[in-house]
Amino acid sequence: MRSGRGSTEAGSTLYSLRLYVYGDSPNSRAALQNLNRIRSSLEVTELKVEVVDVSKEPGRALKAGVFLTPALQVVSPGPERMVYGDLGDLDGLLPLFGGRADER
Amino acid sequence: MSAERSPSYGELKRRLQAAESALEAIRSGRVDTILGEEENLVVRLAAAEAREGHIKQVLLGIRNVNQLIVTETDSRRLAARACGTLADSMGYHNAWIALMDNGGGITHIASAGFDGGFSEMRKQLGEGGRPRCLGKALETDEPVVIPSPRTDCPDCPLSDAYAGRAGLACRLSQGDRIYGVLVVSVPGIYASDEEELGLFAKLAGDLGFALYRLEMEGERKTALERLAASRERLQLAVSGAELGTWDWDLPSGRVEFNDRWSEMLGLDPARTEPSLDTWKELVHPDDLPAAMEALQNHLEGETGVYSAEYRMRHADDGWVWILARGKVIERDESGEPLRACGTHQDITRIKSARESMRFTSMVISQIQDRVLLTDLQGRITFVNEAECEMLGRSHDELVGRHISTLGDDPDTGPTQQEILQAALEKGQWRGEVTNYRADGTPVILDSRISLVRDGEGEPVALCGISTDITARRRAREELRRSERQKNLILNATTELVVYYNTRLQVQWANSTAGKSVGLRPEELVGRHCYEIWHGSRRPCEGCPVIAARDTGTPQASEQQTPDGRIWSVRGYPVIGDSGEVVGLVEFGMDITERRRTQSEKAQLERQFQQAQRMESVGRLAGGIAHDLNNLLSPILGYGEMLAEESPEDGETADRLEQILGAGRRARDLVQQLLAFSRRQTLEFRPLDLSALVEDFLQLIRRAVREDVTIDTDLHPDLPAVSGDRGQLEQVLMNLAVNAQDAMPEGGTLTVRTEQFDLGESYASEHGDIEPGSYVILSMEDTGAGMTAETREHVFEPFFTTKKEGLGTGLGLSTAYGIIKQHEGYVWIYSEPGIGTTFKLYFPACKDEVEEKPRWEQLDACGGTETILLAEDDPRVGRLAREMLRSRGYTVFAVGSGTEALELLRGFEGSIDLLLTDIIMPDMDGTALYAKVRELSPDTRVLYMSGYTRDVISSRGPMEDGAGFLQKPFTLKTLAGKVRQVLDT
Repeated sequence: MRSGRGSTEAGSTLYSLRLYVYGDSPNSRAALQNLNRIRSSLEVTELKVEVVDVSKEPGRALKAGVFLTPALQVVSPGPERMVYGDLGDLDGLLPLFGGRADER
Repeated sequence: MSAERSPSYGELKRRLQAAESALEAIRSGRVDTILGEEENLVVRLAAAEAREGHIKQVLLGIRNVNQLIVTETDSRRLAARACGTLADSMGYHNAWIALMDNGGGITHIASAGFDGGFSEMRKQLGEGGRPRCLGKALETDEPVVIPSPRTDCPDCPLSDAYAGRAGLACRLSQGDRIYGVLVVSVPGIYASDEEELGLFAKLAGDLGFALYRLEMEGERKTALERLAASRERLQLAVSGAELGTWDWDLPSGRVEFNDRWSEMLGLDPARTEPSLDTWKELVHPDDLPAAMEALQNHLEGETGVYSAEYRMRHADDGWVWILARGKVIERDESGEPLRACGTHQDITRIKSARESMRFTSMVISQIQDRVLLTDLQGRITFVNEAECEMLGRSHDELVGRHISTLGDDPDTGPTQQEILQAALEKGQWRGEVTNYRADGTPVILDSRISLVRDGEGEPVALCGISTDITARRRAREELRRSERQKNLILNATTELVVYYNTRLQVQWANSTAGKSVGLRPEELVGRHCYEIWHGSRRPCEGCPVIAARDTGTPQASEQQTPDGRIWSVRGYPVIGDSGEVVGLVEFGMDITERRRTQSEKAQLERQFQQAQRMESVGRLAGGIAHDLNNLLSPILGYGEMLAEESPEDGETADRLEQILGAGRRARDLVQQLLAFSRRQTLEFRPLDLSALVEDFLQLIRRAVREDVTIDTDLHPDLPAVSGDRGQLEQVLMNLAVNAQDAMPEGGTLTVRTEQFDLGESYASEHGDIEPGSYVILSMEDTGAGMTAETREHVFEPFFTTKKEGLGTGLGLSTAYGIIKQHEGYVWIYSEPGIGTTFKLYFPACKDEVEEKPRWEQLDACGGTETILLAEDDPRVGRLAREMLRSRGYTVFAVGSGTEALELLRGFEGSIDLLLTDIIMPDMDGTALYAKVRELSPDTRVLYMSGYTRDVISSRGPMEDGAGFLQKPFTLKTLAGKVRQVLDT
């Protein structure tokens, strides 16, 4: 049974993320790709990502206070955080997930 | 945003971080969309920053493009690189340009920023598809916005690539010229931003201008290139054509001449003053006014081009013909000419060539021969006057037509098409052709067609020259016809007709002439007449043809050719215009037959005349004989009577014997005469030829010359031969006479009789004779003999080897006739110089030879019968009466048939015998007897006559059993005959 805090088996941490994209837009696509890169760079962290297409579900974005795409919402573990852009800054983003730059 | 509670520090911090991230993302262009209409600061700031960033990027892009514009020289490359730059700048995510030509066709497509997603669009554009953005953009020079391509243009292949962005399109143009369309995509929020659109429009404008300039540049370059090329060509042309050029600046009067201009006139280019005066001074004074006028007209604008021909003085004092051409190339505002330039061409040779060509053309046009030119397909390209006239068609009617339309007459030879082929293959054709005039009448032409080649030897045309020979042809045919007719006429005659020259050489001969020597007339031409017909090397004497030549008048004579033919030859001179003999005509008729016939006829006539003479002689002889007979009768009759009554010895008896002897001889001679004239009736009796010969011998001896000895060799015991004594005697006489004539110096005539049995083989050897028993009587002389030829003709009437007048030529033929009548045959054996033997074969008959007729043995026959005697000659009548009475008969004598009948009618008793003359004035003896028979059927008849047989037989046939007594008769003969008749 997973807790809300997102604990995973064997000591890895599970992050629940929500990525807001606008269809197949270039930056949105880049964001997905970068997210995968982040994922592969992390050793002990597991990422669970929900992708929300704002062009299809604009309401969810607004409700979440998202006004730009692409946007990555870190749902858990808390506190809730929002990162905008295509997530290209890998070094800047890794610490967000408990990763370090040198962990790559 | 979260709820009403005030945010914690951590929350604020997080919000700020988020905002920063957002700003950063916006600044760096790593956002797709900005959502919501929230007016919060961040959003506005972000939006402004985003927009600023976007604008910066757009401007960057534009700057880059402008840089490209400055450096790029190729429109296509410009388009491609512009797209690339725009896409790279991230202001416009992607861009594409379609370059177009004047007609709206897409010439090039450049694109960037689609990551391969443009290929479908490219394909569609290539296939002629025109997307909405393109179409709209072309319609206006303002930018066109497509806010949401995804929904606005769902069919667009790029709608995915646009992905929420808006499309901007603008045409690239300069003035009216559209060079293409630029299409970019922007974030949707900027799509309707004025500044955005303004920038985009500027970008499009820059690009448009760039393309325009490039085009201009391109055109300019092309123009420059073309100019350079044309200038180069001009230079080449000028130098190649050796043209002189002049360039005249009117205000100053200065004229620039090129080197050739001067050289053409033998001048040194360096020393040629470049002015109008230079030119004027060199032009021939006679030609200058016209040249000036032409120039003036052009300068004033009346002619579009200046052109003049004039003479210019050459340095060596000759004149050169110049063709000047030129044009005003620059005028001022008022139209005054400022500059003109042109060329000078030395046309001296051309002019003379032109002149001669014109002359030639004139000649061709006017000559009488028909000249016609066609192209290689046979279409007429030129006809001269004569041709038009001949065909009765105008120039226009002929040029352009195919030559075959002039008429193909399949009867008269090759069609026009065939002629064409032959001319093309062999380079020429000659022959007769029939063309048809416009009115349909045929024209016969002697055509010579030649293939015309150009300088390289390639065929370019066909030239036909024809002469109208219709008249000539007709004349020729007329001549041929008349020639044929002449030949027919001259060959139809059976005369030979020959035409000679004055040297007697044959120029023409008809078919008869040829046939006469067995050659064709043509083979005679050139030979001499004397050589042809006489085989001689020299002219013949007396030739009428030569005489005609020498005298100039017609001559005729008869000539004989070596083959023995006789010709009637007539020679006629042919007199020429100047009166001398130019030729000779000979007519020759073969008259050999005619001559022969003539001579034959003459001969026949002679023979006929001879025969007639003989006939009349015979008749005369017959008449004389008859009269003589009547005269002799009393002589012999009374003489005999006297002899009977007189003592047998004594002078009286002697004298009486003399008288009787003479009388008998006279009688024999008369017989001979009669025999000769063949007027005897035939009486066939079985005869002994030996006895006959012996009896007749004395007569023969008397008839033949003394120097001819007659020997006999007579068989004593011959079988009888059925024959007529008189006739056989005649045969003997004729043969004897003939033998005598064959021995003019005397000789021996041997008469032989023998019997012979003719066997099969002998018979067949000797031709037409039956085997059997024959009595042969042969007459052999020692005379001149006969040649084989003579032997053949010897029995022919009138054939005689004796000279004319001697012998009738009838003797032997008479003999032959008699022998034939006796069913005998005659052979002649003869040897010239030795003698001739006539062998006469008479078939032996079974009958016994009659003893000498009883009446001849009866010396003293008489009787007591009653005899009616009718004889118109009183002397003969009295004689007969006396004779008969002396033998005891009762005789009633009358002088005519009528009297006899009268007497008979009144007579009581019977008449036993009518003794009557056959020929009596009132009635023939035979007719009398017929009547007597009616009255007294038992009365016998005995005819007597002094006339010959022919006369008698013409008066009517004699019955069998009727006796006949030839006058003159002796007592014995008369008495004997009477007794004989009475006893039968």
